[in-house]
Amino acid sequence: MKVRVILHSYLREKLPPERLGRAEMELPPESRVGDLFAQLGISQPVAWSLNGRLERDLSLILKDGDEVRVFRPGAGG
Amino acid sequence: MIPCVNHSILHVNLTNGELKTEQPDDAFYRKYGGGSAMGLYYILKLTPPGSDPLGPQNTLTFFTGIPTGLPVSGQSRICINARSPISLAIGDSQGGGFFPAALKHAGFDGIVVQGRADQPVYLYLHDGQAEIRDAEHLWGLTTGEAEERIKTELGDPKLEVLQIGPAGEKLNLLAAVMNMHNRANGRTGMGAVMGSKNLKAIVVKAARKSEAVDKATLASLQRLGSKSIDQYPDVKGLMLNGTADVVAFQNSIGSLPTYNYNQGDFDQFEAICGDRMTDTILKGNDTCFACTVRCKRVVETEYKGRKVLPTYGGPEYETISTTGSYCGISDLNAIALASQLCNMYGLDTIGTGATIAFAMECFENGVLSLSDTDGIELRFGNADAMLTMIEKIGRREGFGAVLADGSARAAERIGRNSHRYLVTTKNTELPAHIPHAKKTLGVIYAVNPFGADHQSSEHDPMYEEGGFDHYYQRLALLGLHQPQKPGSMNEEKIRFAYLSECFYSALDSYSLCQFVWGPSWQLFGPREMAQMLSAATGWEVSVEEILQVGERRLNMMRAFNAREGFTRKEDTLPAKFEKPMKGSGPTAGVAYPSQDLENYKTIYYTLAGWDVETGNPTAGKLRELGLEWIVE
Repeated sequence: MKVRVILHSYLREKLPPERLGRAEMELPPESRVGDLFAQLGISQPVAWSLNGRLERDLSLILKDGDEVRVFRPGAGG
Repeated sequence: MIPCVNHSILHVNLTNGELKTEQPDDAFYRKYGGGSAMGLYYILKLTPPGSDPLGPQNTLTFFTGIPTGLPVSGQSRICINARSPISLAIGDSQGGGFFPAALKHAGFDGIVVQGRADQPVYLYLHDGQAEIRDAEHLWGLTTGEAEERIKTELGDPKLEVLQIGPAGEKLNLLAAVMNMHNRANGRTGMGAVMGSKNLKAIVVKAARKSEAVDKATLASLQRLGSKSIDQYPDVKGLMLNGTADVVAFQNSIGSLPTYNYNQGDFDQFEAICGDRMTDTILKGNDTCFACTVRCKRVVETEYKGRKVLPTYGGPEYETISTTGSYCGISDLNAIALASQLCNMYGLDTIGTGATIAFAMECFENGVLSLSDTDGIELRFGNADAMLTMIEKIGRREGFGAVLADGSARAAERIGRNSHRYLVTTKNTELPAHIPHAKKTLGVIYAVNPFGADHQSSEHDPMYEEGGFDHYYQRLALLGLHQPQKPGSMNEEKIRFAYLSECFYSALDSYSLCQFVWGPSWQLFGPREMAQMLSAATGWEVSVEEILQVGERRLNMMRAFNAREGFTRKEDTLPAKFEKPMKGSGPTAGVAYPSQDLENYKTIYYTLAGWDVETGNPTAGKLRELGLEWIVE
């Protein structure tokens, strides 16, 4: 299945620069958000949303066509 | 005598042209740190109670801090204080750039301005000397034009210029004080106070360097900072995308004010986020004196044939939000032009964008019509209208004159129940962080002595589970050991708000940058700050001493407000917050009821050791902090 990934801020460095933080990731069926993060090499604290909804549970199972956005986890300034 | 300060404070009386220099001792610097605490010392002593904020009796102060001008990141900041013409409470604003360090290097730690000049003047400080010079020929020029003219006439392109633009000259309460014509002391109307004194600019010539007692430790901190930016992701984000880096996260938690704070998520946020700015209009990064973070943006673009020039810098997160999402605008080129126009006229981008958003909501609801707005369709999403209004505000012309003093004054002028659309506390527009998502920030917006401010305490996510270890390790140094559930609100959270507020208050006393020094996510934490201040002075400065310096400043500000009749009744949030927010993000359907706020305030005042009935410092608390002279 394919999942659309959008990375923000310094997390864009997890993908080649020309991708500008965007990718379609091929994952085995029944993959979890934690599996996606492992594939992307994201091990640090992040904030993320699944199909526009902020979530925290990395064991959520992804479906074909899902969109995962990943943000830095805090914001002052 | 500590070597990092000049022991020299300039007193200027613009009414009679008298210039005097005061030489305080080390004890004075250790007690107050500098910045707005030192400014408050003079304001409390010299401004008679009840003074007209735009009259000659209002004292206007400009202060650097102990470490300003040293070769270490995040020290080149200046605090400007006076009674605010917006809130009638204390006014306070901070700005960075190269001017603060240059003022120190010109031989002065601060300037206390009293009186009013008969005609426009500017101050020229060089080699420990000061002179008052004619500024008639500079009046009416935009900030970029005036800076160029001053440098040309004094024959020195390296001079640093702090100035008001046309907005300050016209006493617009939204007026900022600018330096480098792209750095702003924006908030609380300090540009209007400067304009009321006919003081166009302060020009400084740096001729010496500041020195630390322990140069080796300071140098090692500077090296450590440069090497460790990658370890502190929030700082790395600032370096990559500037403050605009937070747009996407803010939107994700429902904290990106949209359509005049009616919702916390903007469906077009991607068009205005930091990544987009970096990928499109960014020309380069800029910095403040000796800072390795380089968070300042420089953009170059155009909007409908109008050029946006690199010399005016680039939009910050607050500007992107107030002139963007607050107004329902997603054109980054228009936002960049809005930032430039505000910098040219010398306007606070937060107050200006938020005031236009308020007017847009009035227009959308039929409270304003084309006959009120000079024929301008002031609708959400209309970028041309937003830009035209900035220029009208800057020139105080037409409907711009109605808005030029901020939204609270505009609501008085408009009437027709328009105050229901206000998003202010103490007449000050709320910045772009929504309390419904960051609950403790609602308390700080309400109790902060100079109105809603997002840079006066740490934000909730830093003391919530799921963050980086260094957040918690550093907050533990302030006595905060129990990170809370995301989105929670309780006594421990309010303790976090109060203690981190004391720390931030110390940053505004020592006059330090809150992106480089701070209690959690910043490049340097409380321990390094104590180390840096100790290296600068040779004193043994502890985290406890830093917190007390901050607490002292807060109490001085609240004491000033108490003298002007302020009590807990003025510590409010917008009435709009009683109703649930709109939108579709995490804050949709969420309210911030005033009864909740009242309960939080009682906990807060108790923690601060203040009178719970009035919300004001007790005589005992002031004495405990060595401020008995305020009581007497």
